[in-house]
Amino acid sequence: MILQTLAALGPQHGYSIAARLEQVSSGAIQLNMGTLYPGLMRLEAKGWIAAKWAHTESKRRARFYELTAKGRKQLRTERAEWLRMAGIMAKVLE
Amino acid sequence: MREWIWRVKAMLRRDRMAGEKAEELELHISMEIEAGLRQGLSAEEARRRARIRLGLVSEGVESAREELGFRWLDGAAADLRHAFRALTRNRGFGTVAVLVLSASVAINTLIFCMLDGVVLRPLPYRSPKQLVRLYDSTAGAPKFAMALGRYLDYRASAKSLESIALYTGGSMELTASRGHSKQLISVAITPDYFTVLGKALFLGRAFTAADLHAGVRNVIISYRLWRDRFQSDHAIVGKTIRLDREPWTVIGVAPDRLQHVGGDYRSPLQGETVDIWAPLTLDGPEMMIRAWHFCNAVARIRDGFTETQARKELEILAARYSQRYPDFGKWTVRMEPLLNEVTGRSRQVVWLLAAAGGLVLLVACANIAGLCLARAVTRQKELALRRALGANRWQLIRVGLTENLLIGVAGAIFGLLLANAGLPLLRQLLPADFPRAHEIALSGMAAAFAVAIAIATVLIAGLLPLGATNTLQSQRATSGRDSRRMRSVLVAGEIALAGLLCAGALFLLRSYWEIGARDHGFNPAGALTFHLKVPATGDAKPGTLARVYGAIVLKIGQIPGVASVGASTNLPWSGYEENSGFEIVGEPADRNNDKGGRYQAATPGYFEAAGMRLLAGRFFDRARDARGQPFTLIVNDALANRYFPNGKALEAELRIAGKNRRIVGVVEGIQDSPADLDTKPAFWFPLEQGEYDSLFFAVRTSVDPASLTPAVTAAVHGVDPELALDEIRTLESRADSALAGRRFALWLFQSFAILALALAAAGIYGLLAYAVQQRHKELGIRAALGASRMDLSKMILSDGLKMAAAGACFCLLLIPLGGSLLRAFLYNVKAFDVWTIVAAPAVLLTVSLLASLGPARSATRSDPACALRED
Repeated sequence: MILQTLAALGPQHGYSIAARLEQVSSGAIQLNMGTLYPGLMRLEAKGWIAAKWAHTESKRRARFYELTAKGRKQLRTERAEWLRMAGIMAKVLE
Repeated sequence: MREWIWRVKAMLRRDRMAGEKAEELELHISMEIEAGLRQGLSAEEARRRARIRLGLVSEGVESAREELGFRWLDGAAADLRHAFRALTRNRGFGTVAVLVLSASVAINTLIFCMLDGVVLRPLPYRSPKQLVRLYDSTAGAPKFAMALGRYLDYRASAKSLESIALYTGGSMELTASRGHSKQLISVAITPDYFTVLGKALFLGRAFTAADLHAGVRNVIISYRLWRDRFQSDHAIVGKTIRLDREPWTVIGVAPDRLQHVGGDYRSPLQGETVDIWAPLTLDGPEMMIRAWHFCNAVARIRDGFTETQARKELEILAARYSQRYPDFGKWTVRMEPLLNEVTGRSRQVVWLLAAAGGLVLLVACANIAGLCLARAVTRQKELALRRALGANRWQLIRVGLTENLLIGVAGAIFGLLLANAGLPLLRQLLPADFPRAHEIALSGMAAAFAVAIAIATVLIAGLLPLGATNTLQSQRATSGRDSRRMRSVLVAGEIALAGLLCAGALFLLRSYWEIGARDHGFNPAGALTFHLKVPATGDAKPGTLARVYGAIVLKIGQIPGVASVGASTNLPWSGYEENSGFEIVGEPADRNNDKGGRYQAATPGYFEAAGMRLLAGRFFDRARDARGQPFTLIVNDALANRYFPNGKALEAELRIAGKNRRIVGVVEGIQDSPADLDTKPAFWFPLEQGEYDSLFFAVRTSVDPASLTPAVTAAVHGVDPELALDEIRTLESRADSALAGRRFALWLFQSFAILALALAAAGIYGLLAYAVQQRHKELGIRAALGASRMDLSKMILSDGLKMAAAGACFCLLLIPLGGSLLRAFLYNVKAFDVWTIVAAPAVLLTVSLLASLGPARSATRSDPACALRED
């Protein structure tokens, strides 16, 4: 999900990722900090996203996360996998 | 992989990262608040909602830290802190465990140092594995010195040898500028000696074939001699020094710390033992070249050849040589790796001690395991609590293991300190002729070994009780019986192992006593001995040396307090091994059955001074055995019994080196070394009827022999002030050194046995004391029901004795096995030695009983009222 958000919007900081997810899911997904940030670190450790310090529009220092090439690839496979699973689930439940 | 690198990097700068995370999270919250404000909430309300939605900053930081993988590190640090606190709180457990561990680690480290220095470390030569010692060999004398002729043949023809050299030891008198001369240890060598070892000279050149002629007086001196005696004179090559009263030219200086190859026969020990190298003269009659065996051979196998190939080739060459010169014996060749020859018998001693040290370590391990078990039981409540709070099995084990690890580290450190302190003591205990003793040092390897065994011991000791009793599984806090049984088994095992060590010590002690009680054929007490070499200058007339020796004997005989004095080519137990063949006059020569014996020479008075016993005939005397008189001979009983089974040795004639000599006396034989079972045939010429330049003197005194040293020295210098006496010591101390190897093994074994016994006793004591404490209610109730103090103490004592008996039984099974392992070190003691089989269990039971007395006493103090009041 985080990867998709980054893919869609480009480099983002933590708050905007959370806000975007909440907005897209119409409030169904609310990430608190204890979930969001460890998740971001996991992705960073795996090398799927890269992070750097930059300034927001409101001129505040924030850490911006960006998708790496590896992350993009990972996103594609995960997405395909998920869609496949969702398709199966949909069929089963029909 | 990359993920791990990232994590490690993150871990290294985790404080900064935590700060960054906190900043990031603060920003997140403030943005949330701003979003709230935009929705028209009050500042207070916006903050409240943000908090509710997002949780606490600190919580976020915490979970981020965990994600980074700090949990493991933090956990380990916490475990360490906890273990340290627990150990300092429970000092008794920690102290005992560290003491036990460090003592056994120290012992094993010292033994490892010996093993490393003596057996494992390669010899300090180029590719030492290619070095071999070569011997002339027959069935009767498997490792005999090499004849010059065979050396020349091998050197010319053997393709599998890169180089071969001969050497034969002696001594030379270095004339001092002022005062008395000094005896130097010299070795005569052939040109390739330094090439074989792969060592280049420090200064000058090595010998060449041109040096190997009589009358060539070129020498190579040792680095030490060059430095100490010649003030590191860089221009020494070409200068002349006076040796044996003649001018010799220094042609080279050996490299610093060059270690001589060593050998049992006519050679200084392996190590930095040689002062001077002289050329080995190859001139001489064919008899000397082909029939005399007096040289050690060392060779280097050529690259690309195996030892077997080299041996095969030399065997062929040896057979061809024997065919070509049938008059000089049918010798074959024997090849042994140099390292084996250098370490010799002490290899066995070292491995034996290593085995004994290993047993001590096992006992220590069992002891610590017992302690851990006791501790695991007492902390069962704590563990149950931890479990209830959600600790998993691994976390519970980890707590105990971390504690043990701390003990292990402390044990290793103290053990190393102890070993370091014990090393000088070990060196003192080592026999003077122990091979490679100079290599024994506390090396990095030894330190690593100490740490490894310390950690292994505590980990095994920590895991053993876990695996066996599963104290962690039981939720109940009452698996006391299980663990007590386990501890009983451990203690019984300790007792059995300690008993085995005791039995080993007893075996060695019995052998030592047996040897001490043996009649050795001479009397070591009350005699002073020294070595003297009277240099034979080229222009001396035959008989000169004997006259000098005769004068010295006379002069010493005049000293008040001297009962008798004499000189001989060797003293008892000095490792002398010169042999000569002979024929019995009147018996047909038998080529297939060579007769021979140790050839020695002695002055009148020598046999009396050494305290040897005459069995028949007479000793030498001044008149009848003088120069010019008919040739005479004294033989020992071994020679008389072997070659004259009819008992008619006296007055028989032996033909030795072309001369007939009449046997005038038969003396009781002396073994080559104290524990030898048989005596070698031997005979003595009268000294005056031959030429000998290097002799040992024996002076039997009616006063303390050592007190006569100045008088004896003065007497020698009264004859010739330039003579250099060396090795001045009592005959008793010489005899003692012949036993030093055995005493060394015995002492170490004894101390191991005592340590193991102490550990086993501590084990019994600990277990019983613990049992008394645990059962104090039961004991109290028994006391209340009328059990007498005697009954209570009997109960505890019988517990202790049961363990001891179990251990002793097991030990009894092992004793014959231990005895057969020790066989090489035993004298007149069988592997099934009754004394040992009775004494070892007796010692075990006594020690166990003593160790049980304390707890038994405390059991009698059980107070019924106290037991009933509790609960």
